[in-house]
Amino acid sequence: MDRIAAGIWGTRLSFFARFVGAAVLVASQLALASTQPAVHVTSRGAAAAVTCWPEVAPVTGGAELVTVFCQAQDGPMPMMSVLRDTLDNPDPAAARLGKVWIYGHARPGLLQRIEALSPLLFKSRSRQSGDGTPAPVLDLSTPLHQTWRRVAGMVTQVEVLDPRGALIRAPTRSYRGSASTYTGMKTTEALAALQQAGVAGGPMPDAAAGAMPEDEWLEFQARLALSARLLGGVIRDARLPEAWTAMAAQLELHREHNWDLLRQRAEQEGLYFEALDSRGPAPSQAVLWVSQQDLAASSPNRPFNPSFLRIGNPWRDNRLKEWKGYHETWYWNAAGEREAEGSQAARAETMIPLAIYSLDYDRVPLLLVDFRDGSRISRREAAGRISEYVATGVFGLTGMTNWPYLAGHATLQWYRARHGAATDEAQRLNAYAGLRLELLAGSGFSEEFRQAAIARMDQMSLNPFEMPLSSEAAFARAEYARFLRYAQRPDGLAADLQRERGREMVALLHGRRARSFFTAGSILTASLWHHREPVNDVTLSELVLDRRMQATLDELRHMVNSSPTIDVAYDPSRVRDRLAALTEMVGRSSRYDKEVAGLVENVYRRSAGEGTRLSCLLCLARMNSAEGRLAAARLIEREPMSLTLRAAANACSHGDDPGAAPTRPGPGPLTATAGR
Amino acid sequence: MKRAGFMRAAVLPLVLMALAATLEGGVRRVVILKIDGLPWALVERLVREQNPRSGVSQLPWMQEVFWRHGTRLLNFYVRGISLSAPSWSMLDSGHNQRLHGNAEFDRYTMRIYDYLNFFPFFFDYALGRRVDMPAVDVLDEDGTPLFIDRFPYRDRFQSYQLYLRGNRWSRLGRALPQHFSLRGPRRLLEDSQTGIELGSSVFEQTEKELKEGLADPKVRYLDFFSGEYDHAGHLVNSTEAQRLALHEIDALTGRVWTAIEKSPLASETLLVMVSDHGMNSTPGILSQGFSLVDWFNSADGGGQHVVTDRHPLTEYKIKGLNPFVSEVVTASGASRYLAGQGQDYPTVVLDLDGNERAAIQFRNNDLNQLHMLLKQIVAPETAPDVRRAARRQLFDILDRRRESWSGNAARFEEEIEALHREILRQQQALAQDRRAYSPADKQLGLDQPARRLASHLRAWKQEEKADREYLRSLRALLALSPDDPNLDKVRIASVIPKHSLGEPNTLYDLRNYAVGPTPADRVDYFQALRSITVRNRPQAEVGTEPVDFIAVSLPPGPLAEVLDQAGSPAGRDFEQAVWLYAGEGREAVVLRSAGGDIRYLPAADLRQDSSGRIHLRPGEWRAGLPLELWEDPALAIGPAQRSAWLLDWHSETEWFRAACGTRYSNGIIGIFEQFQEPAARLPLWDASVTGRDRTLLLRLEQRRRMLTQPDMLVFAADHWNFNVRGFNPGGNHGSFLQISTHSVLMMAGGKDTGIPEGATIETPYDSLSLVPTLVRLMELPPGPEDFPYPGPPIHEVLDTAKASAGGAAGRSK
Repeated sequence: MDRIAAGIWGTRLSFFARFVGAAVLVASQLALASTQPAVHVTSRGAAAAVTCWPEVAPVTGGAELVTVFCQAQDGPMPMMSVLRDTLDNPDPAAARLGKVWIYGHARPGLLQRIEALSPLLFKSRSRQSGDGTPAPVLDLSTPLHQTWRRVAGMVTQVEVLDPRGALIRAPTRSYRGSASTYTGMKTTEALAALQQAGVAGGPMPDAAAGAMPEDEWLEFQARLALSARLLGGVIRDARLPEAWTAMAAQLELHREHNWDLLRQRAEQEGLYFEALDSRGPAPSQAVLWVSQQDLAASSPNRPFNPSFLRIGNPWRDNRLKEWKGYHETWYWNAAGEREAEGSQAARAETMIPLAIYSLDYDRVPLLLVDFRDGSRISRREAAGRISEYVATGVFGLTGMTNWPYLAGHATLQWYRARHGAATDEAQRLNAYAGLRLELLAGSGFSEEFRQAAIARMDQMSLNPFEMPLSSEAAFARAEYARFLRYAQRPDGLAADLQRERGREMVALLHGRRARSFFTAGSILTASLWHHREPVNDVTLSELVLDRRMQATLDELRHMVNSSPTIDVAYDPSRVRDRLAALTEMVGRSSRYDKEVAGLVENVYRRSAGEGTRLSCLLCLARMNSAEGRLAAARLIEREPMSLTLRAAANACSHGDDPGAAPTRPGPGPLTATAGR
Repeated sequence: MKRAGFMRAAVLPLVLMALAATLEGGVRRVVILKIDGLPWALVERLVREQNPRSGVSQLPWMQEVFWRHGTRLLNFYVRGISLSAPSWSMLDSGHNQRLHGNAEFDRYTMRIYDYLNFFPFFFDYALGRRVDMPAVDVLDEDGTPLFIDRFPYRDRFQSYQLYLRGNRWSRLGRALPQHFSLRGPRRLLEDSQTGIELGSSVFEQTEKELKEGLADPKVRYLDFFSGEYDHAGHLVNSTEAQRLALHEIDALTGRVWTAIEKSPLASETLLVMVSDHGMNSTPGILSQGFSLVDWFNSADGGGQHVVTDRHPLTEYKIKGLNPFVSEVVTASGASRYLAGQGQDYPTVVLDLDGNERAAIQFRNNDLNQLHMLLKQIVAPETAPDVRRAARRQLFDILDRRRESWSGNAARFEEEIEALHREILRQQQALAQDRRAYSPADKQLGLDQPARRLASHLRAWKQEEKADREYLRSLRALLALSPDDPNLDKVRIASVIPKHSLGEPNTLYDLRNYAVGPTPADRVDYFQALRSITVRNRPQAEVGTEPVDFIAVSLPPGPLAEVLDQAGSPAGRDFEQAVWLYAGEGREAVVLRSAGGDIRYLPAADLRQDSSGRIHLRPGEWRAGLPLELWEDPALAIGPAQRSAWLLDWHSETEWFRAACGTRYSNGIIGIFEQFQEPAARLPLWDASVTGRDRTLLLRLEQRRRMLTQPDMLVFAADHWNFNVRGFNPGGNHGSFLQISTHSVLMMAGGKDTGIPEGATIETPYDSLSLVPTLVRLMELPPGPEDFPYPGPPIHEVLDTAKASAGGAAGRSK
């Protein structure tokens, strides 16, 4: 079968045809990515009971390490750190986010690596923290690199490994799948923690505000969320807020939708619905309970519709009648409202938890814990994984090599999803990761409940790279300690920081052709060699200027694009302030002259304020370049101007400083208006 | 020479007219931004809130245009229920509601009026079977003109909306290429990660065409409809998501305003922003759904087979993808006499749109009983004595109904015959019109009247066929005779009309509704619906009872009698009465006189007996009566005078001023708008029908509207909704709650329009005031004398505009 499939669809196809196939698969992944957010994004609106906070530590060489901790049962648990390279400059525009370390992300041992080659071996094991250099999970300063690496990995799998037969194809696919789902899961956990510590709309907590500005938090979260998508790295920084907002809105939509769906289904089946976290209107997880009194009073023939709930009929389940597992006593008043324990005249009722659902999955509540049947979910998951392994790994039926398979598989998945099946593995994983964090660091439930749920969760694990939830916190602490040791070494984090700056300098000092040459060298040496510029005080100050310039240009570009008239959509003093910052910088660097001239000209056109326009002209003059003079000349030619402005523009187009031009009654001396 | 003289003679008056028009000032052009579901309170709050990133308002353009340079109405409300199709009908026509829901069903034939579904419209338009959206067709048949009809086809620009006249394929055709051409490959790649929104391409194209229209001085009417906020508000409760949707609208306002400023008629252009209703969306409180379909299907709900306009849980069905669906039967497994016959005999029709209210039509109660009795009679296993009893009972019911049903059938038949004659006449007219329309003619819309007529003809023929089928069954039923020895062999399908609800139900029927053959199988739907409770209460702010109150129309005659007897005399003749039921003892009767005055009476134990007599006891003033007027601190009547004031007759204006700030705002006015008897006019384009046929066709049109009236309206409790298609936790509308009815009306204009700058108007106005105000501002003819606009224009705007125009005229002289 394998041979036939490969014969027909694999080996006989030309490389070009297979390349086209790969492109189509990438495109199909794109389409899927566009409809199904592949990452778990929590929102502030649903503040979970998890408590997380950031802490900032200085790094030698002018940088900061922002670490997010969450409060676990046995003390603070470090979740992740990000290197924030400030270049020792107080201007936030000069700072850049870099590498990210996730402490729960364990490097697999030899045994795990071997197990990962097969989809049938999936026992999770505790591991010890190592003593080498901790590896970052991603680098926020070069998001595109990660995307290319993934695409390259995928193409390698399809073009190099898959055609070599089932013995190579099946284990490599299994291994890559386990590795990528594990990293995805840890990233999702980290993102959830980050959200609890940072912002996603609404006022920012003091601790977070002190750690870094709001837009950097947003960038951090967005990049982390996008890192799970195949082409997430292609999104430019300017579009990150939009991307993040879209993801957060999508998640909010799923949660609220699933909240109502699960509540209504619980109501129809005579069950009790409770949010796992009672603080937000739309929580991430919810629990369904059944009353033991209802069980006793109900006939076993009471109808039960498992649609969307995916659990067994509780009315026919004799185990529930003599339930020995976790249960709670709830109290009700005469009006049928729930009361606190010990309330006067309250009616007590024994409640048995049936299941925990994630509400973050697209369109359907996802069953994560079945308190009566610990292996139900893992059985279902394992069956899916094995069938995928057999079809893809053993028989080589992949979308790229077998179009009928692609069509059939996609149709079946679509049909199942249309009927409420949770077919998206990435989303399932995100939901699973969300509950793991909740159980690790949540405080909205009793310890007994946590232990009961953790026991079920540990039964669910299907990835040999995973560790049992119970050993996660200790491992993260050990990893953090290892990271701190690395950060304190002279050849550790500080040296790495300098190397990264050296790489960043390359773009500043070399043209496109030279950079291509360096990139080719790096690829040819399998990344053993990278060209880096020496870092000294002079080059560092250039780097500061460059980063500030880019940030200012981004901000002005956003202002210009936001509205047909900039004065309405932005406080004019803010626009002038940015122009003043630009004016101060253009005199020191001509690297962005063309861009600056175009942008400033646009600001001028979209503003009716005399002060803003004067600031634009001053900026063009200070550029002291042909681009600036040409822009001023165009403005003179096409835009109506007051006498003051015309005089300033004339001075500008002749290369003079408009501050020296004679002014009519206006807002005052040019320098004063433009500079403040 | 002669030719030059002719040219001068022809051109000079045109030039003079154009010059005069230029000197006149005032409003020559109107641009209306129609924003579905935009809530007043949210706009007000966000305009005042500062955006930390920009340092100015969260909605800077709305602030700039309407706050600084325009006039805002602080108390603008939907008249009637807060629902799109009925509300836009008033905003677009200036006349009272003709449509009472987003979907309506004809009781006799189950013909669906699906006002919101664009797909069938586009499909039929492409096949030449339809010209206008269904809502426009209904208004046309009813003789209610739209405001847009006052402008020639060439002089108006209309975006896609519920009241769409005609269609321009070019807009759809250009939208997609434009979407890709505006975005580079990198942007498209990025979009693939953030979500491709092809829907926005239609908006982009519409906006582009609107701007082109603004550049053309001939175009005097332009509008832009957006349903994006409404969509977002329903789906997500998050303030952030709703704010984002509003940012888009704000940016659109800025772009349109900037384009107006650059347009040739800038100084005489009026920009209006209006919304059709608000949105009951409170941050932090999710709206909870309750499925009335499931409830009616259940034994508690009577085991009814339920018809809706869309599939319940559409998103989980393959069938849900069918965009042409307008009628879905959800059959009950608990039906006591129609098991397995749901598709043939649906018994309840639900219009749930808006979701805070449900319009319910039940199959006629007597028809149910006749059906059950016939089933017993024809069943071979029925014992002879039971069969005899069933026959007796069958003819008891038939004899009781025979006179009214026969008379009604005769009148209906007369109307159908008149319709048939009209069809023949119009067919002849259409056949004689053999004009071929060039593309230029089509551009000017010259082909549309003929196409429209053909479309109406097609619809009439279908209606005639369905009506005759219904009548055939009814006649056969009425022809049943106790002497007929073959009665036990009668084919039920031939005498009980399939897919029909029959005649409307009385209050008695609704309180004694037969859902099964035994006397115990009777449901009082008022009590049953009001006593629905849920076990889970996940939000402290939301109660466990999904139903707030129920409203039904009462026959004025029997009610007047009982009011006199009960010691609460009506005091004057009233032509409309509505019973509001919020539970036993929590009842009220609201009355409206022929002159439009209204009064509110608390009542208790209101019932109707089988003979039609109404019984009630005067109720006591207490908190919790429907509409909660008595206890509402916002009612502008002091506590000491309240009881007396509420009991007394007051004009609509007095009620509006007193109650608009209350929890249920102008609900007491809206309830009458909802239940008013339809008054049809003959279609404007068919004025040639005279004599008896004219009367009959008018009667038929009135009947058609009557047949869509619900038996009862059920209103959801605060933060509850009846949506069954999917889930709307974000927010909903459809009720009389102030948060749902309080809408937006703002306007700003060029310097010659005279629109006050930075002004606010506190006087309450409702949906009926927009069109008369625009007509007066634009100095358009007031319309037919026999069909004046019922609503008052906004005097505060007109007075300032008039004064300003006078000043401008003085200056120009």
